[in-house]
Amino acid sequence: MKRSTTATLVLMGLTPLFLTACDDDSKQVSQQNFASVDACTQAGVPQATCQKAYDDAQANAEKSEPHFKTYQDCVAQYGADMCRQGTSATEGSFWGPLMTGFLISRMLGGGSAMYYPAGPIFRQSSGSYYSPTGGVFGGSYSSGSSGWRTASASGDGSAGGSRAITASRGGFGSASAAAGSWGG
Amino acid sequence: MFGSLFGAKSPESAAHPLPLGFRLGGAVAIDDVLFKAHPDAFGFEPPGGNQLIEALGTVDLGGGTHLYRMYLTDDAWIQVKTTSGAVDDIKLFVFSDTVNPPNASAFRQWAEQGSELGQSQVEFNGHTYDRVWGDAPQGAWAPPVVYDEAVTHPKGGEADFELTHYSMLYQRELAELPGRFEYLFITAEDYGPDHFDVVYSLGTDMTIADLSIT
Repeated sequence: MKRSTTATLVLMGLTPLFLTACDDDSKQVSQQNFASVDACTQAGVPQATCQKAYDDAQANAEKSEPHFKTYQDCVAQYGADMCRQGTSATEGSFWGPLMTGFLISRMLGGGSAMYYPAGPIFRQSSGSYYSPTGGVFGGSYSSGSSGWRTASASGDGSAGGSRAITASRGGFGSASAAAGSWGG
Repeated sequence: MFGSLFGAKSPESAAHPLPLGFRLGGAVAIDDVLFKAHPDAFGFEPPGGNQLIEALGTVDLGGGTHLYRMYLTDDAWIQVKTTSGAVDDIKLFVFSDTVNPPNASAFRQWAEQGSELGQSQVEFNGHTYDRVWGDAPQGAWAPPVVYDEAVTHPKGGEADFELTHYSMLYQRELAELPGRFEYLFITAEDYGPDHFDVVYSLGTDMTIADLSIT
């Protein structure tokens, strides 16, 4: 805390809210975002599903991504170097974010897991991710079976957490290091 | 003023008195004999005279360990660490440099693999400091330690707030004073989606005898 730093209003809660999406007791739907087909297969998703999810996301990215009238508007939300120009028959020229990955839905039920492509995702400059199907959610790219999480319920575009960094704390040094030695 | 909107949070400090008799709005004077006797040993100077405690930061590190950061009038702070209520570490830090990343993406990189924050050694103001935290091997990057701090001000002062730190502690033993360490504390401060900075502070160990708390 630098003394001269102006105080900011910090909204409640440090972690994005995830709601459990359960069809019934036997089926649970969770989602994971992947930056590449490789990362996807490493998490145990069949290669064909990963490839299809990637191809579909690519094909649909322009259709489903947020469109901005100006480059500045896009950069404000998605960051520099993350915006490109596109054109559509109805809108003419627009700016949109580059796809940064794709989402896979996993349904557990009856002792097996089924995987479905769930569209492209776009990383926002705030550190959270925007999915046209799932709204805004926080967190870093996770891989491995532990990376599955229940689908996001936060669909409002103003989300993005109350911090610039919204990555899981699991990737950082443990607070116990600071609870232990302060050197000497 | 936002307390009424979001439900006033009574900071821990309000419920329990601060260690060593510190109090928000109180004062502390730091004995500078050590610094005067060895003017070239340290890379910083302690703040002089009576310093008001203008803000208080509290950190709960879990396991009964707390940090109390007393922010003083002249860009300096005293950190007291307690475990189960007993004081086990006192340090003085002086703000030495602040980096303002141009955007959130640049800020995030400070907490990511390969950032200066987490290298096994850091050069700062002509000195080399060795990393204290993290069990990454020598030469490898260690992820910064993440924790939240709640900052409170005297009643009627600035609004209270919280922030998230991504910190790493470094140290060097002073050649002139064997057994005495100067610490370099680097922390990426995350106040909100569009509000962040990276702060370098230099410090050293204090004892109760070095402080006159009023």
